[in-house]
Amino acid sequence: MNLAEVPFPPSVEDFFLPSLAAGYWVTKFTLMIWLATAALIVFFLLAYRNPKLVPSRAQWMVESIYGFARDSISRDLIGPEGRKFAPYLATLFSFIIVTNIFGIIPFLQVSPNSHIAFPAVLAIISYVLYLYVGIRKHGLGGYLKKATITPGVPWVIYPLLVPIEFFTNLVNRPLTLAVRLFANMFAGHLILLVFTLGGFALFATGNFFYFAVGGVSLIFAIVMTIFEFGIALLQAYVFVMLAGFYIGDALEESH
Amino acid sequence: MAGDQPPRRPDPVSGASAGWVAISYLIAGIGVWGFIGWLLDEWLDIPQHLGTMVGMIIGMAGAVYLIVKRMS
Repeated sequence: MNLAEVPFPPSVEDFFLPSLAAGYWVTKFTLMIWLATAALIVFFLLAYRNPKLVPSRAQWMVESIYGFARDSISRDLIGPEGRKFAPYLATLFSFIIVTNIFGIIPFLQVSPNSHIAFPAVLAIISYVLYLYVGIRKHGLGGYLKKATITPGVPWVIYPLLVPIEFFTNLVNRPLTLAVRLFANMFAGHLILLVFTLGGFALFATGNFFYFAVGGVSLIFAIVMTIFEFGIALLQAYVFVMLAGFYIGDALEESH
Repeated sequence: MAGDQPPRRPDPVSGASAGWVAISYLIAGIGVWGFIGWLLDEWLDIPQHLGTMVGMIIGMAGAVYLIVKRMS
């Protein structure tokens, strides 16, 4: 591409990638989701096909991911009942990590999670899961009572507090779960676009001073890429931690 | 002294979830009661959006009260 044609500034339009087939049902994002799913299935199957007492590197990775989901999330946040949720949480964690890291892999370079649809589906699955386990354990009325009424509060202020509790526990949670992941990945991709395209746009001016600033911009793009790697891991951790916390909260006996 | 226990390190995981709980209570409190106040504004023609303002303050007070109750 000619340097003078570098599109700048980047905009939201840059997140809407062209259709590859079947209208907009198959885009680069669809392919990346397939790739992530396939890669995870293959990796987990291969790494655990022939488990050894002294693990190979792949087996060690699989065991640490699962051990983290089982011990740090399921056991600590959900409690003794939490173990049966460990497979779900481990899957969720590795899927979010892989799709997040797609944002900084050359040629993939954008995370599917920078579209609200993908985090929304993950949040809805977790939402339905914790509503289901909560209602199964406490019954519909019992669960609603638990979710909306704080014990030890004089009944006079229930009208003030019940709407807040209802909104916090049953509306806000899935929304913030989805929006937090989406906004982080969206902003991260936009930042990388600004510094990378900005660097080339400055080179295209031909002015010596702008040229130097463009170099700084590209160096910063590299720094931000490393930073994005940290964000990818952190956001996967936060998502899974909160999903685990919500499941634990739904299962908890009344306070 | 007997009271001189080394401070217990708070568990980072539960600390972070406590933080998210507090933030979502504040958002929900201000949002819900601000919205109810705004509805009252529209319905009763209250001047200067006073209903929204009072609603947000009430919601914030309720949220702070809930956070204190839940965390203690």
